[in-house]
Amino acid sequence: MATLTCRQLVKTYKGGQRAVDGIDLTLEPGELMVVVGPSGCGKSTFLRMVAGLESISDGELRIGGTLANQLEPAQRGVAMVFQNYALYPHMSVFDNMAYALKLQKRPREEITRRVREAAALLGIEALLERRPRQLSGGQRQRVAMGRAIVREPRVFLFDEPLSNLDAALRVQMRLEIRRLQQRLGASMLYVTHDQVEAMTLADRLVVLRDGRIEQIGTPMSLFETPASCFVARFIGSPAMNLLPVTQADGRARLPGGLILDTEALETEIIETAPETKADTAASADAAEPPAAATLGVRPEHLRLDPQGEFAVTLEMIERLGVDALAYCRLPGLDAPLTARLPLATLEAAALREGSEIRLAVDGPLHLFDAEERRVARRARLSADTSAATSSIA
Amino acid sequence: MRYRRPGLDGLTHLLLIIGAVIFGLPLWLALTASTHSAGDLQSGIAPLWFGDQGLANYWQLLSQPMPGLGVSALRLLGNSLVMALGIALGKIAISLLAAYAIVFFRFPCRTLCFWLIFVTLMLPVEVRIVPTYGVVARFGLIDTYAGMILPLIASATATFLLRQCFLSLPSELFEAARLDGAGPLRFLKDFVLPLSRTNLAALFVIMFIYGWNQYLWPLLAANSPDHATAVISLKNLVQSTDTLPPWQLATAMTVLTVLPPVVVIVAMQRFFVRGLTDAEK
Repeated sequence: MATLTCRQLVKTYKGGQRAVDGIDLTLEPGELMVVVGPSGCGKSTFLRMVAGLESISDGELRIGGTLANQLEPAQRGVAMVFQNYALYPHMSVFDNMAYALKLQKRPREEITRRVREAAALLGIEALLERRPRQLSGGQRQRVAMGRAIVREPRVFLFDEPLSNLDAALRVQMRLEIRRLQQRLGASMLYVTHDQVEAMTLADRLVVLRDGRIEQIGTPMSLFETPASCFVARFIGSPAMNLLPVTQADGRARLPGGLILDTEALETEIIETAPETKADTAASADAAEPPAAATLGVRPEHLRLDPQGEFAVTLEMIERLGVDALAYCRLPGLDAPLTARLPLATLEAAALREGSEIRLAVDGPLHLFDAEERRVARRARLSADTSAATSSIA
Repeated sequence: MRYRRPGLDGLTHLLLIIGAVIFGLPLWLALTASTHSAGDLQSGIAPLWFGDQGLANYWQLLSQPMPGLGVSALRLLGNSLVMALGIALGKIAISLLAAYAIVFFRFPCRTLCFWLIFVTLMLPVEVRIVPTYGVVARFGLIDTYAGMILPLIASATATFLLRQCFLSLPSELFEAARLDGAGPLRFLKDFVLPLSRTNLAALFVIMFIYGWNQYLWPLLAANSPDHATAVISLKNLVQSTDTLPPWQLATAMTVLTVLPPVVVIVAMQRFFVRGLTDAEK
């Protein structure tokens, strides 16, 4: 039985504005699902609807098989970790963690035992007598998680829990959440706007856009086969390069005088939300799939090659250590073309800002139609005048 | 703003001393005058140093019925205490609930309610004294503690102050408590009260002094000497028709009347300052 099921969940505000517009998803037991999207995409509203802090305008929310639309937050069997921790400032750490159990009128021994167990799990036994204001950010975060664990909820809800921490601590807590989730076998719904956090934590990833699900799937499936330009831009860092495709002289042309040859793929399986999956299937079945309007290529899939298709000017280099990001200027393209290149290659070729270089595609090309949906086609790039060079789908 | 300049320090201290003297002088005069005999004070010259009748004057005041009123000073102070406490606690109870409702509940006309409460700032007792007297008289509350207290316990100031204080509590706190299973009343008891305790203490001090200093309303609502307050008795003491006023008693009573608010302020000063200035929770 699924831990949490949402059917066409809708949140409408008074002005008729829809913050959440028909979300369908199922959280399996022991699964960590990350909901990700830019600010204002409705991800926090969605989480608060699950928690019971926002009313549900339409649709169905089931937690552990029971309809939870009208249940009080405390009766839903969910525990939430807030972005600013929301610890009770006037209570000790112990009381913070014990409060929910006290309200449930549990026996004192049980409360003490459960709080101690959770504290041991998180390594905060020494802090139990302290007040929240005496704790560091990471410790507060642990206490907030402890408060959730003590309640033994069916679903843990996390609302951007790491965004108030500094970068090093964020990485550490990220690992800790993952470790905890595996140890407890807990089901978690985790909201964040940080795509690195989303990629590293998630069993399955949900990308939200304007209150709708853009794509659901494992982090790698979203990375490898993004269902739309939006997902392509959002997942992966640095973001995927997107090049406009124009039709001229009966050929698909790219900036930089390149020609794009495509042929329909027989099958391509993309994990998406049900509705988009139907769309993709329909377009794949059609005799003539929609023409590509955008070509996407990840910065990781570009390499230096004297025979490369892209003749570009190197504008800026960001050295990341092992790799470097090369921001290049491609005639006819406003945004820079980003390539992730091994730093050693750059140094060996003695490249600097202003150098003229050629880049070849060394990986999959992604095609999107005019509606920015993925097009299932194999693609080849070639220079306009010379013979076709390379590329694969 | 903290300037550290030697010359400025001297000047500010001088100003503070002048201010303190101006404020302290009447009190000092009352204190010294209360230790002289009636005869000494008839000369019309205020004594600036203590006399030898201090103990006798205070003893007379506390042991014998007050001339003109016929009740003891202790009774008067007791009446004042009941009224001041009743007003202070009543004001806090009512404005606490009002502010709690306005801040934490979404109900129709919420803003309207708030502004209605706010508008009553323009209707102090002095303005509505005739109708208020009528209402209290019809309820048969003249000459009762209830009659003296009830008309004064609605407070827009306190509601406003508490509202600002509650607004500064993060809303996640309320949400986290809801997820933990705390209902509205429990949230009030377990969170709002402990977290606003300095503000409540500050309010209590202000409202206690406000209640203690009431003059006009108890003058109307408490007709019999049994319910007269200490502040009213001061007026009675200096208003004798055929004899000279007993100045030594009047000044002694003044000193006694000033003491309770002083005690309250000294005892709660720590909270008072923090409650009015400290926004950090």
